[in-house]
Amino acid sequence: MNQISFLKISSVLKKIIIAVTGLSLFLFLIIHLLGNITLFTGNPPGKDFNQYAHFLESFGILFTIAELGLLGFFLLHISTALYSNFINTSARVNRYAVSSFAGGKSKKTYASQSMVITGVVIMIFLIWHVLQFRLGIYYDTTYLDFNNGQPIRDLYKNVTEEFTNLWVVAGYTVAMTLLSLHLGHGFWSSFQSLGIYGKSFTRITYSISYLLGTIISIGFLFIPIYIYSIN
Amino acid sequence: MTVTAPEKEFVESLSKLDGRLPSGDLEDKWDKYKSSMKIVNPANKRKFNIIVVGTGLAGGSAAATLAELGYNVKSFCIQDTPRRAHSIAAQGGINAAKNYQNDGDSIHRLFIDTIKGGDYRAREENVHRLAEISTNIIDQCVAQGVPFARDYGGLLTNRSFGGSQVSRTFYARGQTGQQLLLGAYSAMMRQVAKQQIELFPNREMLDVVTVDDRARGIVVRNLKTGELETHSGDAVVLCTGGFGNVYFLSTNGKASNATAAWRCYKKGAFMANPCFAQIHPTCIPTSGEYQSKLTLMSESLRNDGRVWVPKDANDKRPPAEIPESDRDNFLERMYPAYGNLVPRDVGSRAIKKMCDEGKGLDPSGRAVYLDFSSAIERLGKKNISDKYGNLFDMYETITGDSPYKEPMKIYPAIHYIMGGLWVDYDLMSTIPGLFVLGEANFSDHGANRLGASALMQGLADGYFVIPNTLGNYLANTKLDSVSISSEEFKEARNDCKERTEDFLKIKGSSTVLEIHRELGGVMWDLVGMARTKESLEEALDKIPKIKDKFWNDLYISGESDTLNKSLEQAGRLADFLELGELMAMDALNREESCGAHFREEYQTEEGEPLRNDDKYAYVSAWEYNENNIPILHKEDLDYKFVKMTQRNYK
Amino acid sequence: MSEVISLNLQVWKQPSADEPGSFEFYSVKDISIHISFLEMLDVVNENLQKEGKEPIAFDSDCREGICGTCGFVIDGVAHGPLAKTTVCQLHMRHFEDGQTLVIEPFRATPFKVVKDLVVDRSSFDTIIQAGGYVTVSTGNAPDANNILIAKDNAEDAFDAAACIGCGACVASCPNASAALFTSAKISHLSHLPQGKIEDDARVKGMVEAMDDEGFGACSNHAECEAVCPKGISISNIALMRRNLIKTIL
Repeated sequence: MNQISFLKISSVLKKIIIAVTGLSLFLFLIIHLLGNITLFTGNPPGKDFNQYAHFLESFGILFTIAELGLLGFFLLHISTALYSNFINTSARVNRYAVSSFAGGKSKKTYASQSMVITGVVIMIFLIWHVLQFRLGIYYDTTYLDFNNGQPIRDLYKNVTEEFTNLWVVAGYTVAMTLLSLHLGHGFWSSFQSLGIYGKSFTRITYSISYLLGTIISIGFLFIPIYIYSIN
Repeated sequence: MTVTAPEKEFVESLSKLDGRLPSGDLEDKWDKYKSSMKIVNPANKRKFNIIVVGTGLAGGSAAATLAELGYNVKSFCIQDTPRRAHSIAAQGGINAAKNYQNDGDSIHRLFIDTIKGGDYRAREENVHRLAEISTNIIDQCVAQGVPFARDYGGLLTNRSFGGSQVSRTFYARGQTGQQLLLGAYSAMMRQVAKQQIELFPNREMLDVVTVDDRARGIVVRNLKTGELETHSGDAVVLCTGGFGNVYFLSTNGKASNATAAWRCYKKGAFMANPCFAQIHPTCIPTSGEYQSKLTLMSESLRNDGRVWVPKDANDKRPPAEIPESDRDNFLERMYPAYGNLVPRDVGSRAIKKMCDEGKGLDPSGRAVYLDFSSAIERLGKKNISDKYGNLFDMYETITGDSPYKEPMKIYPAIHYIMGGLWVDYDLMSTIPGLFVLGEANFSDHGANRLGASALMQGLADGYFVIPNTLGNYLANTKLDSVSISSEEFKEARNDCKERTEDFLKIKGSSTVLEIHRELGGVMWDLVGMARTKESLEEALDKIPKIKDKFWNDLYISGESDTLNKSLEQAGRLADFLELGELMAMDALNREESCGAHFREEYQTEEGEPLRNDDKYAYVSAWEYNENNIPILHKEDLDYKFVKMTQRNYK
Repeated sequence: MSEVISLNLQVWKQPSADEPGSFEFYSVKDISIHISFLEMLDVVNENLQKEGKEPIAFDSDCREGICGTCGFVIDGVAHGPLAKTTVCQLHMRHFEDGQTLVIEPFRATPFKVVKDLVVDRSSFDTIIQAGGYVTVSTGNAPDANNILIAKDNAEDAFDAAACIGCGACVASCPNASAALFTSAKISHLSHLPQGKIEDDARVKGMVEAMDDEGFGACSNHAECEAVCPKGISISNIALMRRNLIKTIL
C-alpha cells in the first residue's frame, strides 16, 4: 500500500470513523454526566465532587493516557468530519437558490444539516470548558477523613465561581442547546454509518435520538443554572 | 426486373426475395446451421470493429456479448446513458418455454403460439429459433442477477399472458423490461471497464455509410453539442427499436424514432411489413390536447382484471353501482375460451367495437372498464397489491383514481411495430454488413406480437443470434480497411449537415409538435386499428400535404451547434412523414386482414380478420427508389411445418 | 375545483456548462390540471417558440417514470412535492392556482449542466463500471432453477434493483452524495447468491469510483429516500457500509 492510497480513506470509512468516535464520545458524555451528579451530593457541598475528581486523578499515568485518548478521539472525530465536510462542500459548488425539506421518509433536519457548525461551536466550547476547569485556577482544600487530611484540588470552587457569572451560564446554555442538536442527529446516525440498520431498530434509535440529546443537554445545563440560581 | 402495378404508386419486383433459410428439419435447423458456420479466430476478433446502434435489450445484449467474444465494440445510444433505452418500460414479462409449471409447455408450443399469434405472417424458421433460444435467455438473465419473481421454495414463478394457455411468462413485478435491460446494461458496463466497448451516449444516428455496397460506418449527431461525427467499422448492428411515434401518441418513449432505420432504407435496406403496427388494448385513455404520450397498463392485468362496459349505453351510474347483471363482460362473452386473455389485436378491436357502438365511457366515449373488484374479493387486496401494486400506483398517479376502489379505464394505443427493416435468417438486411436486431427488424412476430415476446426477441437476437451470424459474415467476407476521411464518409456527413441546416432555414410558423400531432391524427384515424381502402387512400392524399407544410412552414428556434430538442424532433418528423406514407401504401397493398392489420373489407361474419393466404402469404419488403416510387419485393411465406388456419380464440 | 390553473415559473437558464446561468421568469396561464409537469413545460415551450424565443431545455424520454431521464428540482425538492414520483408523472392537480415555482437543475459538481435543466449524469455509468455487475459471459449460465433464491431475498434484491438512476438522490443530498445510487446496486447484487460472490471487490471498487467522481459523503439525512421515485431505502446504504466493513475485518 503506497502512501497516497493509505491516506485516501473512502467516504464510507470516514463516516465509520466519525461514527465510532462519535458513539465513544457519547458514552463519555454519559459517564461525565453521571460523575457530575456528585456536585449535588456530599457534605459540605463539593466534597463528593472533589473526591471524585481526586479519585480519577489518582490513576496517575493511566488517567493521563485516558485523557489523551479522549483528546485523540475528539481530534479524530473533528478532523475527519471537517475533512469530509470539505469534500462535501466541493461536491456542490453551485448551490441551490431554494432549499427545502422533502418530508416523508426524510430525516433531514436543521440539526442534521448543521452538524459541522454545531460541532465547531461545541469544539470551541470544549476548549473554553477545559481552560475553565481542567486547566483552571488551582484551589485546594482538605477533608479530614479523606486523603489522610492532605490537601486535594478544590475543583468545586472553580465550578461555583464560574457559574455565578451570568455570561458563563449564557454561554453554556448556547453550547448545550447546540449539543442537543448535534447528538440528536449524531446518535441514530452513528448506527446507520456503522451499517447497523433494522426497520424497527432504526425507527426506534431515530425517534429517541433527539430526545436523548435533549436529556443529556438538560442534564448538563442543570448544573450552571442551578448553581447560578442558588447564588 | 420490375413491373408497374396498375393504378398504384409503386412498382413490383418480379424476383422473389430470399430469406436464406437453412434447410433440414425445423427442430435442428438452427443447431445445424450454427455448427456449419465459419468462426472468427479469437486472436482475429480484436481486429474487428463493430458498431452497435441502440442500447435496448437487443443492442445492449449484442454489444455486451460481442465484446465478451473479443470484438471491439462502439456502442451508440440516443439517451444520456445506455440504461435508459425504452426497453426499460416493458412491464409484464418475458416468455420462455421452460415448462417449469409442468402445464404442458414446450418449445414447440411456444413456437406454435407465436406463429398463430402472428396470424401466420412470420417465418417458421425464425420463430422456431426464437422459441429454442427462449430458455437460454432466462438462464443468462438469472446468472446476471435479474431478480425474477420467485415462490417460497426459491424457484422461479410464472404468470400467464395473452394468446397462450400455459404459464410461461417470467417477470420481475411490473418492471421486467427494466430489470432485463439493467442486466444487459451491467454486462455492457463490465465490458466498458475492460475497454472492449467504447460508449457514445447522446448520439443520434443520422445515416449509414456504405463503402463498396457494404455497411461500413455511420454518421451521428452529438445531441449535446450538435456536432456531426462519423464512425467506421467492419459491420453495423442496428438496434434502434420501433417507430410507433409516427402516430404521435403512442406508448413509446419520446426519443423513439424511425430515423436510423429510415436512413438505412434510403440507402438500400428494404423495409418490411411497415403497416403491421400493434395496438395495445390496455392503455390509459387520452385526456387532452397537450398529452405527450400514452401510458400502457401491462397486459398481465388481464389475468385478474375483467374488461366490461355497461350493457346499456345510457347507463351513467358509477361502476360500483352497476350490478353484474347489467355489465357486459364482452371479452368473456365473445371469446369464452380465452376470455380476457385474448391476443392484443383481438382485444383492441373488441374494445373499439364497443366504443363504436356507443358503449364507451365518459367523457370521451373512448374507454372501457378494466375491473379488479371480483379478483380483490377472491384473492384479497394484499394478493392483488403484491402482483400489480406498482401498476395500480402508476395508474393512480396519472389519473388520480385508485384501481382498488374503482375500475381502471382503458383504451387501446399504439405500442409496438412488428414491421421493420427486412432481414434474412442471419438478421442481415439487404445492405451487406448491416444487421438489424430487435423491434427494428421485422422478423419474428408476423402480423401481431404476443405479450412478453418482445423482450424475448430482443435478447434472443442480441445474446444468442448475432454473435453467431456476425462471426459467420466476418469470417466469410473480405473487408478492406476504410477511413472516415474517405469520400463516402465525407459525403454522408455533408448530406446530414445540409439536411439539419435546412430545417432551420425554413423559418415558417408551425412548430414540430403541431405538425407531428397532425400527422399522428391522420395515422391513427386512417392507418390505425381498422383500415379501409378509402381511409388509406385518404391518408395517402393527406400525408403529402402535411409533408409540404413541414418543408414550407416549419419553425425551429435556436441553432444547430448546441443541444436543440426541436431540431432533433424535426429530423425525426421529416422521416416519420415519409414513413407514414409507406405504411399507408403497404396497408393499401395488403388486401386482407391479418393480425394487427385489420382491413374492414376483409373480415369474417363474426368480425374476425380474414386472411387471404393464397394472395398475401408473403412479406412485403419495400425498396427505396430515387424517384420516390418504391419497389415492392415479396418474400413468400412457405409454411412447411405448420398448417395455416383461421385463428380462433373462442 | 377549477380544471385550469395559472403559474409563475422561475426557471434556471444556462446556455452551457462553461457559461453562467440565471433565472428567467415565465408566466403560464390556463394549464389543465390533468397534464403532467413536463407536458406543462411542453406548453410553455410551444408558446416560447411561437414568440420566436428559445425553449427551456429539459430531458425526458419514457414519460412513465421508469427510464430515469427526466428530473429537476422544484422549490427545493428533487422531482417536486409528490413522493415516489418523477416529474413526468407529477400532475398539475398537485399545484395551486397562482403558485410560484422555482425550477432548478439537479446540482452537484459531478453533474455538469449541459443546458438549462439538462445535466450530465455519466458518472453513474462510471460507478457501475467499477463493479455493478455479475461476472458472467453469455452462454455460461446454468439452468435458471439451479440457483435457488429465497423469496424474501429476491424481493429485497428487487427493491434495490428498482433504481432508475435518475440522480434525484444526489440532487437532494445536502452533500451531493451518490451513496443511495451506489448502494442500491451493491445491495441488489449482494442479496443474490450469484452476486454475493463478488461482494468484496464490488463494494471496494464502487465506493472508490463514487469518491473519485467527486460525490460527497453520506451524512444520513435520508432526504434521498424521500425523493427517490422508487422509494429506495437507506437500508441499502447501511448494507454497503457493512459490506465495506467486512472487507476491512
